[in-house]
Amino acid sequence: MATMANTDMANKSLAQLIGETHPDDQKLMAAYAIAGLLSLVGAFALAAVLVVIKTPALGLANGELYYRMLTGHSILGFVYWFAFIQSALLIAGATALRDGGRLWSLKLGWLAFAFMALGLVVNMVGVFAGADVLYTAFPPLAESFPATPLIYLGYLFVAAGAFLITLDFLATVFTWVDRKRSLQAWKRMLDEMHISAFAAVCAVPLIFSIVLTAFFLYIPAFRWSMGWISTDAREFALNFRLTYHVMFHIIHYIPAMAMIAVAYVLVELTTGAGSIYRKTVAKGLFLMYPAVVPPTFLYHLMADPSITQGIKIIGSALSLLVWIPSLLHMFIVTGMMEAGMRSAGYGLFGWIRHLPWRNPAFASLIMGMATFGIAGSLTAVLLQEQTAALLHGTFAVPAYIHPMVVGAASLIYMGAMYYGVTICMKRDLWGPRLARIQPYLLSVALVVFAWVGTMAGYAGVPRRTADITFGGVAPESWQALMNVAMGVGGTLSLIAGVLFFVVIGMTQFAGKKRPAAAALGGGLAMLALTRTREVVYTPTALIPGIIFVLVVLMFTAGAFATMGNWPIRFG
Amino acid sequence: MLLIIPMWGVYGVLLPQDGGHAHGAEELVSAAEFADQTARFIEANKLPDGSVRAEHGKAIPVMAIQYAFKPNAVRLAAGEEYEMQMLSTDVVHAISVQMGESSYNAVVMPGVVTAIKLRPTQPGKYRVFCNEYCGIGHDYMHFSIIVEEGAGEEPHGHPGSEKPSLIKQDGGHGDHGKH
Repeated sequence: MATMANTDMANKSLAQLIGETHPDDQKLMAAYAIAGLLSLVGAFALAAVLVVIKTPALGLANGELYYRMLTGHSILGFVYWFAFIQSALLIAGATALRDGGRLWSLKLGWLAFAFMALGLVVNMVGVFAGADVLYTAFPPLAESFPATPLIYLGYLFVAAGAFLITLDFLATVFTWVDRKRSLQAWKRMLDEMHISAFAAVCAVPLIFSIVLTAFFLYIPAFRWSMGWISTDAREFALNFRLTYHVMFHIIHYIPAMAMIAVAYVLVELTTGAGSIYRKTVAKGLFLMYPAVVPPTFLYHLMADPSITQGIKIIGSALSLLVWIPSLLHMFIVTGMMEAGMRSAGYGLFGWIRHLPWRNPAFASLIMGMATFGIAGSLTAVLLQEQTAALLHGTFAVPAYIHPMVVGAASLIYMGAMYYGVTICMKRDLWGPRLARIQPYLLSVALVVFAWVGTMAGYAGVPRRTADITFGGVAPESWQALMNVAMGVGGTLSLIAGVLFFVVIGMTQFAGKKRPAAAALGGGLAMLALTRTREVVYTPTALIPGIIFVLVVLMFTAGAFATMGNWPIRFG
Repeated sequence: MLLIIPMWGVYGVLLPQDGGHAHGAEELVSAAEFADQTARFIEANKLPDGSVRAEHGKAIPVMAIQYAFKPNAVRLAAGEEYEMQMLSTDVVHAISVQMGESSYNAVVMPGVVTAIKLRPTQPGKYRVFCNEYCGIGHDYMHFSIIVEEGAGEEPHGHPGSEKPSLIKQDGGHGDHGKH
């Protein structure tokens, strides 16, 4: 039956499909989205404290406050905002992207929500009770903070929640096949499935391995931190560190995949472009993630003594592969835009000017992709054993991870939220002008943070350090760099975050009511194009990828040159 | 993307050097044993100003502990070759050797020695900061590497510069230095 209904899908716009999601499913989705938003608000609020502390010009460095706020900030931002919003996206993939689609079990969905919410509460109690262990909570450091068990326990709850909601998603996909024994029926279902829902299916094995590793890691860690097992802390720490990095590494790629999945939806919603490349190719690229992601966890351990150099070099070679699926997806999404625009008669470069730049969701998409590329190129030096020593553990790490998770993944999710809120609440965006500048401000702010932060990393500023002057003995130049990275980049990011929260919050209560059939207002209407010709090749879309590769090669060569000039030679 | 691999070849870093660890040694070392070796090394080599002078070809033990490095200043001679062997006796730390425009970073953890070969070429004082959050006092944890003019014109790579090791030995080099 579901497949029958689904044949109508082609006749309905994506916006209509999203609007017709069953109210009960919508409610669950909204619960996750709101919990995610609240976590993000929390992460931004604590980030404000961090910006104040880490801007040396303000002279307010405070270790105790800094490490506590940093622990809370990263747990809220990296764990809970993503866990909640990505669960909402899973539900959307299971319902909104399929005509008449319903979630397999609402109760299971709510149970999963309860687990995640419980995890959030337990973790926050832990943080404010003084578990200043940062989100990594490495033993044996964790030994020094009595509240640490609450960090591990919270992680166990959120992992359980992630497991249950993913199970619910998977069960939903199973209901899409009527004759379970027929291979043809499965093939047809996978073929009909929206590419973004397919991306979610590909993420399932990764999510399950994260959950499994989390249990494997945090159950013993919790027991150890409670003093229930008497393993020597130092021995325990070595195993923890390795297992942790396997899990933590895979976690990064869930936002990467989800963000690209959302990009496919946004490009359709904003420009009306359809895929010109064979859908099976784009879908196949999502299958690359479960294959290339897990073995590359090694790149987090390039500066560790516990791994031999040979293994690190193999790890470096593998790490170069993790960019490939994302790079190709970016090409396809840009190509979809190019083909759509140029088929309406615009020239080889002229199409770029006519993109819907004033649509806040489109701006989120395009700026998110650009920021993703910029941040991605900054990782090159860190991924290679041969150059990692130059930046490992420096401020270059937060300087690339923030544009990736905030400027790219979160920004693209924000773009989706602009649609989600207006479509589901049947209201127009409040403050469309604010919404219009928000994506640009956020990505520019994060690029400033990334660029100057990376310079600080190259100059040697360590990450996760309250007082980067080291009591006055550190180089003076560090302060100027951090003043710009935190004081300018950080502050502007905060403002952009506040703009988003205000627009979304006000839309829910004060957005103009819109009749069900009316077109979307607030700059979110789909670009109206009249197709006059067919465009098959999209050369312009190749340019960002070529620039990316050149920049990566340049950074690598630059790293070797810097290391060759060191007054002390290492290795 | 894979164009990077030939680059490793150009810079001569495609294959692991002597098949071993860039900055690691597999042996697990107990904290007490290492603390003892460090103490003997400091005792044998310390100068009136509290720094220690390392000898070419001999391993330099550096112990990381919340929130200090021991010894807190190491004197090396330009042109010589050394091996710094580092171990944390409590939590995970890291070193970030500051060289003006950039830094060299490596993790120092409990249980596994971080062994780094180093060959200073220019005299100067190089600060080494801890760059892994190790507790509230993290931002006060640092030591110095002081590079002095080389003693003679001896080029690096002496005859008899056998791989210095503190871990595999049975006696400990440290205690038959100058008394």
